[in-house]
Amino acid sequence: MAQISLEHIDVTFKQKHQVSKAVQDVTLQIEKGDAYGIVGYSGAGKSTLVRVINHLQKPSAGKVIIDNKDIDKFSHAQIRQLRKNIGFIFQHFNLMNARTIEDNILYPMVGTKTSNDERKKRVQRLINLVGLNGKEKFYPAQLSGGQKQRVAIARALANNPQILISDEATSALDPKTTQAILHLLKKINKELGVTIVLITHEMDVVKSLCNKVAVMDTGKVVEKGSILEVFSNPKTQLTKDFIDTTNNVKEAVDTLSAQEHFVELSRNQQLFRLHYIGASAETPIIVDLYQKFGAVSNIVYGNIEFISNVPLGNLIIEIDAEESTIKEIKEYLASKDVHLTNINLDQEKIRNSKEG
Amino acid sequence: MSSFLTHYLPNVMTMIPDFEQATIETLYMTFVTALIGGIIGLFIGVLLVLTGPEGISENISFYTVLDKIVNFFRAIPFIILLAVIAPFTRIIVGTAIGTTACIVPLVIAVIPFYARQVQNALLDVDSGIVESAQAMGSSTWGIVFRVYLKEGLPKIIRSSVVTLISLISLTAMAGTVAGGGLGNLAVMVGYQRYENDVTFVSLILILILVFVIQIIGDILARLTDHENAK
Repeated sequence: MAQISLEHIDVTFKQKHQVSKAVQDVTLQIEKGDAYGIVGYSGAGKSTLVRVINHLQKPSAGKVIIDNKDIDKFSHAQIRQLRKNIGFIFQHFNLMNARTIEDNILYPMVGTKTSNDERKKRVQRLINLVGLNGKEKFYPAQLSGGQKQRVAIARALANNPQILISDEATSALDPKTTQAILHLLKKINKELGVTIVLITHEMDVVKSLCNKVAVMDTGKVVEKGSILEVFSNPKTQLTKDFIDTTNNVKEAVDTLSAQEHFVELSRNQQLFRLHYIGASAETPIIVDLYQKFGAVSNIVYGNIEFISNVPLGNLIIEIDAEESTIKEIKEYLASKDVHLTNINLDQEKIRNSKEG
Repeated sequence: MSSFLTHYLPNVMTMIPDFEQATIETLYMTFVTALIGGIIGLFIGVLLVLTGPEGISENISFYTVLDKIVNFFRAIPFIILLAVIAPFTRIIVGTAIGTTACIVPLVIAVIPFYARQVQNALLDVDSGIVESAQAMGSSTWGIVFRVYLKEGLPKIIRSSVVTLISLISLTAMAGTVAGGGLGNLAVMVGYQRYENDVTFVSLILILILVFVIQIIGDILARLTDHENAK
């Protein structure tokens, strides 16, 4: 049984004469130890969805089951208890300005049975964990954005939660600080075994931290699965667009379409996008093409990255061969789980100008 | 020195005990009213924030009623309020005149004023901080005491200063129902008997009181403000 199970969740907001469906029929299973990314553009309903987990937002329909307990049946006191055991970090940190770093981290422990000694020890341990030694007596206003988010993470972990929810926690930070915070979250996920539910509009964040991902659009989950599944075989255009933001294929195509040489290829030359995962990466494709089909190919762009330790390749190659040979090549590559798709730069140009 | 004072402040010098008495009365009215009105006003201000739109215990019908009551009492000119509630004052204090009797209308005038000030101060508390406290399992009253009042403290102090200063000006008006105090001295004695020096010295004493409150308030607000301080 999943640690967090969301079943057919609907969240509907009624405003005067308007009804907006923020979340529609979302079903997600989050297992213990997962780093589950929920990605989508702003307004997709991600924030509303994660707030359902600790009932900061009550669902209009559907069930929330945490550790086999249906939390819709919880009393107010039980909900508060549940919230103490689910850490929550926010885009704008939301630290208490009137309290020192130490007191901010102590806050969630008030009203718990934790002894004073234990509280002090825990604060010290958490400050060590997030690397803010010496800042105990500082106020949030005296810290940088990255440091504030570290305090927020320490605070979220104060009651040793099993679940940590991150609502765009890195979106207000610069790229370098983002990496450092993601590194810290990864450490918390791997070393402390804390389940992380992370929402973001940046696929890069998901790629570097998560093992599973759900893609949301206008309140619905349009695609979900393991990172590898989704990255290697995205089904919707939205997911493809998100994935393209993490590699430079789109930029490469744009650059190529600006170069005459590639736009006006000779009769037999064609540009292809090669996409493969895992073991296929070890097949010497370019050599095969020449040896088996006599086709000369040239790599004009290449991007190979590792997702959950599995290589994932995106190449743009130029092949000089007859149409019939190309067909054979396609069949051959498909048998090796390598996807070959034509790139028509003229069409790309048209598409770009439409988007622009 | 003494002859200089006698020359320029002839009436004042013969009325030193009256000034002492009046100052004590003003302080008494101000601080007793501030204490009672402050507590009730604070409570109503908190209720307005909790039950208002987007509040953590949103209850629009309750809020609307409370909001209208506050507006209603704020709309009544104090001098009329004094007269209108005289019967009520008589029930509570036993008399409608005198310093203690003045405290009833003063409290009634201060509550809605202060409630509104508190409401504005608390609405300035970042809603994200309130949400984070909810996410950490704080109860509604836990959030009131440990988030709203703590985070909003510098602004509440500033609002309290504004309230205290307008309260002092109300105590001056209360002099008209024999409430006593420096305002009474300035108007009933200084103005009506053409003893300008009495009016002048009363004014100086009131100004000193206002400045002292302002300075103390500023210091306290600065000490508690960790958001904008370096």
